[in-house]
Amino acid sequence: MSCGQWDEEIALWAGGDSVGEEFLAHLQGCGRCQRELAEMRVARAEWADWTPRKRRGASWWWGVAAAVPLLLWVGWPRPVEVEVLALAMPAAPGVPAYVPVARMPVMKKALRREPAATMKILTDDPDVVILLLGDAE
Amino acid sequence: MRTLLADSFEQIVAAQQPRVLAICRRLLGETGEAEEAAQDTFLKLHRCWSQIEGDPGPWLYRTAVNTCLDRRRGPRRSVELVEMADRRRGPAELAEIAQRWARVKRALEQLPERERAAITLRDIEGLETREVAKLLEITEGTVRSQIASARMKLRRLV
Ligand SMILES: [Zn+2]
Repeated sequence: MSCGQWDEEIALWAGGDSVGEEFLAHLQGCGRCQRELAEMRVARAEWADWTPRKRRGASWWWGVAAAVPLLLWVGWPRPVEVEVLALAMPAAPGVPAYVPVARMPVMKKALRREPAATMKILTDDPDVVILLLGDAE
Repeated sequence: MRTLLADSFEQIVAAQQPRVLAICRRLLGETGEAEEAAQDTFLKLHRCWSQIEGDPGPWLYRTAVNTCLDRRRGPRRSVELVEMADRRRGPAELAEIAQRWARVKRALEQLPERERAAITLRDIEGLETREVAKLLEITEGTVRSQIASARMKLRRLV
């Protein structure tokens, strides 16, 4: 029996459709049909399998692992201290509270402070970027 | 069933509308687009009215599937995946899905319409063979030979 006449069964079996015992027995001992089946499955995935493909490359865990020594070197980022002024002066009824911008110098100063050490670690996954923020003091 | 020559176009529309609409909703969801696709299907029937002999049912059903396929911007099963990709993976995978869909659609357009309808329902919608047979009002054996033939052709085309 020539292998070519199993092509329809290969196409069916690749998509999970039932096939006869005779074909399955042939498939077990035939390298050509096994290759054809594998190729048909790969081809079918192109139109039938819509799961976004996984990117190749290291997983994001490698990025985390690589970041540990850097964290130790830079030092664990300390939170920026923000002094909040008590501005809760009750306004007169019906008069909107007016707080001039110049009255909030401490807040402005605190918000202006930028971390001195900012390090960006790119990983193999373009969606995973590790930012390390250090304090100036 | 168009068993009598006296069956008018209006009678066919009235009899087949629920079924055609159900197919369109299966493929396009509960949207206004499904209703538009059903209307398009009947417009096509009107244009081909003189050429269709016998029961117009199977012709209508596969025309409905193919009309929906034309309107789709992506495979319906991927809708959730696309949303997930949108949130967690970003535009790269969305672009990949869109490119693949365009490629698959071009290949599907080259298939005979019977095979296109069967393979769309079986491989892209993920319906079981017996469900495809029921929807298109053909035998399971016919569905099997159509999807086998379609897969062999698509393998070369995609
Ligand atoms: Zn073989």
